[in-house]
Amino acid sequence: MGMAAGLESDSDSDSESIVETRLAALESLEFLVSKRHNADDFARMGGLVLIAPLWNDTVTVKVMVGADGELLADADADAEAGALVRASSDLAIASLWVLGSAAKYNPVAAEAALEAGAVPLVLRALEANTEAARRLAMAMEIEASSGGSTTAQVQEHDAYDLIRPARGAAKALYALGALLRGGEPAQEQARGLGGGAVLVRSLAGAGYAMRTFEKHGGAAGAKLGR
Amino acid sequence: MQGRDYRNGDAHEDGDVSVADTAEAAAEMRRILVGLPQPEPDVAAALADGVEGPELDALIR
Repeated sequence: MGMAAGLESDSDSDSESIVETRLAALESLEFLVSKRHNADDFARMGGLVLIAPLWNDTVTVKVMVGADGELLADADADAEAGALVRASSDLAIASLWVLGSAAKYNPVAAEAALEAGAVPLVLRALEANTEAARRLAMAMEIEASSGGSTTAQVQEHDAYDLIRPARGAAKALYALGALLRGGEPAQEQARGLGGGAVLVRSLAGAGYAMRTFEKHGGAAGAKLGR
Repeated sequence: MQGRDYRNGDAHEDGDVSVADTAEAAAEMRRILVGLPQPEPDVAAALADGVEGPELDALIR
C-alpha cells in the first residue's frame, strides 16, 4: 500500500461519461458567466443555487502520512488516524470556477452566492484541498528522501490525481476572493467562520506543497507549474 | 457557443454585447442548468419554461 493510494468519488454512481458531460457543461457556463450581464442573468435564474451542491462534492484521498508527517502503516487501520482526507472532485473544482467567475466584481451574483451558502462551502473546500495537497507533498518528500524505497506509489500515481487538491485549492481561493472583494456581508460571514485562520493555514500549506511538488513532483510538479 | 474566446486573449467586457447575444446566452445557460446537476423535475420544467426570480426560488428552496 502506498502513500497516495487512491481516490474515490462521492459520485461513484455517475458514469465517467456523465461526469465528462457535466464538466463540459460547467466549462461552458464559466465562459458565459465571465460576462457580467450573463452572470446577472445566471444568478436571477437560480443558477448559483442549482450548482451549489457541487461546491462541496469531494473525493477521498488516501495518504499514508499523518497530519504531523508521521508515516502510517496501513490505510484501513489508520483511517481514523487520518490516512483518508477529502479533496474537491473535478465537478466541484469546475463549479467553484463558475462561482468565482460569476461573483467577481458582480454584487448581484455575489449576493445570490452568499444566499446559496457559498462562504462556508468555499472555506471548507479551501481548507480540505490545501490539507490534502500538504499531506501529499509530505508523502512525496518522505519518498524522495528514502530514495523511493519505502513506497513507489506517489511516483506511480496518476499525476492528475496528485495535483487535483492543488487545483481545487486554487479554484476555491479564486471563488473566495470573488466573494470577499467588496462584499461586506461575505467578509463578516467569513470572519465569523474563522476565515482568516483558514486563509493563513491554507496559504502556508499551499506554499509548502508548491515547493515540494516542484522539487520532487516529476510530471505532477511540472503540471502544477503550468 | 457564441462570443469571443477570452482565453485566447480577447477582452470580455460588456460594451459591445447585443440584446440578441444576451438572450442567446441566457437560453444557453438555462439549457445547461436543466441538465445540471439534474434538478428536481419541477425545477427543470420551470427552468425550461423560463421561470426565474422569486418564483423559481420558491421551487428550489
